[in-house]
Amino acid sequence: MGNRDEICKRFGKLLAGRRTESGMSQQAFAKAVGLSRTSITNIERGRQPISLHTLYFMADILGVEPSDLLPPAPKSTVALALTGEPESKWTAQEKEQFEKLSAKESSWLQKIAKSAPKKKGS
Amino acid sequence: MPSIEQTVETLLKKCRVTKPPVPVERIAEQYGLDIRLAPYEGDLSGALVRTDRETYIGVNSQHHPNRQRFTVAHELAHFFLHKGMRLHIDKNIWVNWRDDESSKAVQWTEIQANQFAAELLMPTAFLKRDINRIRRIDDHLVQFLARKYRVSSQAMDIRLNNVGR
Repeated sequence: MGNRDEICKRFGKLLAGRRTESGMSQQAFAKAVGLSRTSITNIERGRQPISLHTLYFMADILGVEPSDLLPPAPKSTVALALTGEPESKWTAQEKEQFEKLSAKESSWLQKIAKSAPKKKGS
Repeated sequence: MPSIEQTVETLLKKCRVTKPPVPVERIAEQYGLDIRLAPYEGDLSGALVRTDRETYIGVNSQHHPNRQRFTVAHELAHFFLHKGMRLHIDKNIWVNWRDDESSKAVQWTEIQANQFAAELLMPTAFLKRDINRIRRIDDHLVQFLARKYRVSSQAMDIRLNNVGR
């Protein structure tokens, strides 16, 4: 999975945002989760991945749903599903296009990518 | 480069289309393109997707059948005219692209695709045959021709103004 760094980065941003909203300092949050403050800093900067159960625990502490802490699928996943090629092979114009897609548009594209063709001769 | 009118004329000949309504879906299939339908609540009309394995046209199935025909024609234009890009997503294909902030290249391809779609669904030669002996174009005629070509009355109205006589 080549997207690991990107996913961690986006998760970290989301987490930092939620934590700030809740009014908790990194120190307080670290204590509640049972990690060091440095670990929280690293997680929020996307430098350290977390495990699934930690995600649930963090959500519980912040009073949000675990899904609230999950960033949407990176555009590159959609693009890969559609084009069958990794990001490095797309043109600048294609990249720009994927960036502009909304979540709803991405899901529509994924739907048609998977749907069976309309009957011949109709 | 041949004009859009010439390109469409050649295409219609190859597909042996001699009269309206132009079977856009059959033309797509003849070129190996699947038509795939999926509903979308909003202004997205369709898409052309080229992968390493296949090429297909996605159509918003919530739109009116005539509009879906226009979408297929518009995506066919991207297929024939704009080979460089593997993904074309068409939102608001009727908007005036000149007001948009997006790049000039995109504007141009969309304008071209709309011209091609209009020409494919309402070929100049077919239309001229139909309005040849008619003195005055009125609403009845526009509606009659819209049904005959399976396009919206608005599209036909605009087209008749452009084709001239």
